[in-house]
Formats: sequence, structure tokens, C-alpha cells
Amino acid sequence: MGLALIAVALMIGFGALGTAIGFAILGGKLLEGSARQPELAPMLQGKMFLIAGLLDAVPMIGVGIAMYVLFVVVPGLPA
Amino acid sequence: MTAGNERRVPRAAHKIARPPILKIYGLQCALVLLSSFILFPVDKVMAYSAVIGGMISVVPNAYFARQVFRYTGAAFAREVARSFYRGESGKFVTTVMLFAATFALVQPLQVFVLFLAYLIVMLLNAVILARYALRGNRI
Repeated sequence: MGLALIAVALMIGFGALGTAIGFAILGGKLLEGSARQPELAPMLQGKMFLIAGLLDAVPMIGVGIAMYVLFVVVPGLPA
Repeated sequence: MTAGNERRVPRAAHKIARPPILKIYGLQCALVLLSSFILFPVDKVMAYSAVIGGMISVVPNAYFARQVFRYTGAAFAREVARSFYRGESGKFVTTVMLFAATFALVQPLQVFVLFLAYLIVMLLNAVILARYALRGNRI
């Protein structure tokens, strides 16, 4: 049971960390791009929205599996 | 923005339309409901598992899209980046809460169908947005 809980913590923690790093880079590039070419800012925003959807797809699946382990697998395990 | 403290927004900032968020997420909701209507005669549990899985994907994505396009234009680049971060953290927390609530409260549940519906709607979202970007602002 302890290992299952550690697995859940790792899945959620690393999922959040990966998404945070990706979004930090993405946000930084948006600011940089908008400063360099202000006329392209709305287009960059649209592209960033598209990439953001792809960026957090895998961590979100990981979060779903973590919740499954936490609420379905762990209660069924012997203490 | 007050009258005395106005910031000039470049004209081009208003020219590019934001994606039709309501249309994109309405379409996804409609497809989820349609799939559940198809699955309902086969298995009731399968039908509502598909709806729940689809909605777990649609609701946080819609919140994120709403946050992202609150501001547009180079003059608001800092606000855009900030609302991106806020939207993403909100999306993460909402997804965790929805999954937790589903697994804790909904019994019986077809977990495979739930994850499959979640994945399909997530892929559908990416495909719709990519088509929108590639086809010149048309879905």
C-alpha cells in the first residue's frame, strides 16, 4: 500500500512539474516574441493555446491514472 | 482600465479573431452525448462512464480556453502569460478533483470506457484546434 501511495505522489508530482516547466518556457517565449514583434502577438497566443493543449495531455492522463490508483486500487489492497 | 490610465492597443491586436470557444467545446459536448446515446442500449454503465470521461476532459479545457483568451494583443502580453498560468493551474486542479470525485462517488463504473472517452475527447480537442490553426481560422 505504501508503494502505491508513493507511485501516486510521483505521478501527480512529476506530472505537475513537467507541465509547469513546459508552461514556463511557453509563457517566456510568448513574452519574448510579443516584445520582438508586437503585431504577431495574437497569432502567437493562438499557437500557444494549441501547443498548450498538446503539452498537458500526457500529464493529465497520468493524473487520471493516479486518481484511479488512489481511489480504486489502494482501498482494495490489504493494509 | 481607467480613462486616465489608458494603454494603447495596437490595431492588429483586434484583427485576429480568437477561436470560437463555445463552438469548439459545444461540439465536443454534443459528440460525448451522442456517443452515450449510442452506448445506452448496449450498457447503461458504459454510457454514463463515457459521458463522465468526456466531461472530465471538456470542462477543464473550456475553463482553460476561457482564461487564455481573456486578453489579446501585445499590449497585454504580461496579462496573457499570467492568465495562461492561472488557466493551466485551474485546469490541473479541476481535472484532479473531477477524477477524484468520480472514482470516490460513482459506483459502478467502467474505468476502461471512462479513460477511453477521456483520451478520445482530448485527442479530438487537439485535432479541432490544429485544424482551426491550419485552415485559416475555420473549424
